[in-house]
Amino acid sequence: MKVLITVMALIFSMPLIAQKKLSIDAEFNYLLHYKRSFEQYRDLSVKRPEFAAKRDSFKTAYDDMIKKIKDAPEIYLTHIDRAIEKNKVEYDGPIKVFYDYFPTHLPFDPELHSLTRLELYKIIKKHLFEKNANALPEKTEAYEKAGGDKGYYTKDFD
Amino acid sequence: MKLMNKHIILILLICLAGCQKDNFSIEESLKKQQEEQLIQAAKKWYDVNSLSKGGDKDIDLALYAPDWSTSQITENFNGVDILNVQIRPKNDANNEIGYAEVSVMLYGDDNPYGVIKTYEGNPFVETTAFRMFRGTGEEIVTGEYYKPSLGIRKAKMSGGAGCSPNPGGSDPNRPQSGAGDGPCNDDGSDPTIDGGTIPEVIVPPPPGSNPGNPGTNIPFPSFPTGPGTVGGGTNPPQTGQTSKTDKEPTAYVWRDKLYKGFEGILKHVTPQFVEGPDGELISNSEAYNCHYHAIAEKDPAAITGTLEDMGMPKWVTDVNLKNWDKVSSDVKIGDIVIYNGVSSSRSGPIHGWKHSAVVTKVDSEGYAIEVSSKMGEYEVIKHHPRDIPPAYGDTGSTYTFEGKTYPSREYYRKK
Repeated sequence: MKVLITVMALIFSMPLIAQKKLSIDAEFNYLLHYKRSFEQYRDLSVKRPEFAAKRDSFKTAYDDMIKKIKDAPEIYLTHIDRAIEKNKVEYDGPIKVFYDYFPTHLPFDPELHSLTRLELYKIIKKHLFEKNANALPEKTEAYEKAGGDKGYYTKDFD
Repeated sequence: MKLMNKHIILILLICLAGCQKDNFSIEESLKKQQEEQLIQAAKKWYDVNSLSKGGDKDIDLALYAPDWSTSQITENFNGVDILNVQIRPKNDANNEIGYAEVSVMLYGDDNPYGVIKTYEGNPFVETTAFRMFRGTGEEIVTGEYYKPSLGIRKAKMSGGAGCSPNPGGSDPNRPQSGAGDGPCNDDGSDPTIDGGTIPEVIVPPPPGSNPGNPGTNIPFPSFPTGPGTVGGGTNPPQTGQTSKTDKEPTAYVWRDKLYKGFEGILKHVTPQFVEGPDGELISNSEAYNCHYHAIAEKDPAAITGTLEDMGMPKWVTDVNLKNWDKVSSDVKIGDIVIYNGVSSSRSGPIHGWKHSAVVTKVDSEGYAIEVSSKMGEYEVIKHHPRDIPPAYGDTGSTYTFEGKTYPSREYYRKK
């Protein structure tokens, strides 16, 4: 009877576990979320120390996620390599992702702060697996190449 | 009869000329009196500050002497008289500065407020490094005097205030001035000082150097930033009403409150990313910004660019206002206001459209007195059209960029 209850419990708990298990792309979403949030609160906490705890918490989450990815190349690198080989990412979400933190209440050039998922894959592979870095570069190559964000909203009258 | 008429006309002309001369004399006399009052106040300010002791002085006024013969009065953005006086080093040992001056104005109970401005090179002929100090000698702003626009760019608050070029490695306990809350712009300037550019500088009262009313809740006086004693034409354009759309508010509430940024002050109501039902972090398709708030409901066709690729179709980046007319007076509820200004980037200053809002209240004369603004990812607030965070532009009607004058705010009405 005890064994049956345990088995039943395991069976019924499976959907919950499955729900909580995120896809690799969802995990990459969190990786970027932690990166952007760390950058945001790191900057904020310079003038407002009350945000230092949030900064540290996001830094820990970011570092942990980096470690998790680096420690499991058989999962993440394999997934990345497969996508690179196909030149396509199988993901239902938006085509692009925001890569770095920038104040969204000000004009910005989205092209300098965003990447396609495939571009993100290549960056993760290059920096975390090939270069064995412990963090992703803060800005996109497009941002560095452009020499900073000079974007602003546009308005036409015809 | 003809001769008599001629005599009468001549007498009238003489009278008229005499009257005009009298009026002119009174005006001249008053002006002279005010100038003299300002000069005396400036001398008092200089004396008090050059004798002040203690603290680490970044510049010591005692080592300089003002050349009062170079005194020149200019006006700041608010039309207030500023006395600019060149100061020269007393000996060659202190001669590393290309040009220096003090600017003093009267404020409150006619108390003198002043700053010292130094230029590494010759600001009348070139773009050069700029520093501003309190009367007590403490450096408060550094930047670059940009000759083409006669303004200061790459501005950065000193002494731990403002932004930090290396936010992560900075000491959070260092003195704060409330100038900024984040990283520097790419060029090292402080984005909180109007994007690193200061067409005018709001200077806190020099501690201990300005006796009398420090005016804790009163907006502090604004000083012109360009060199003002020689060369002429050094002030940015005046803010005289070019259009009757809004006036100076009686107080700035949000501008002061949001100087440090929005986080923790405004409610974060529409984040760009939210957690989905299965725990995945997803783009928030309901996230919207100021332009969507101001324009989309009245004219959805005006929305020509959004962050749809990022999963945010209500985050507007481009609009077409062909169905809108510009409004220069008699503003009405429902009109929109577009905010323009200068900001800094790694490759130099840029200017353009920074924010939008919709008019929610006007006064009996047709001036906008309240607008509704969506503050990026944060909540919608209502404020006076000029009571905006520095990042959204100047409070004056115009701003200058590369020698040209542009409107800080433009009003439009749906056709």
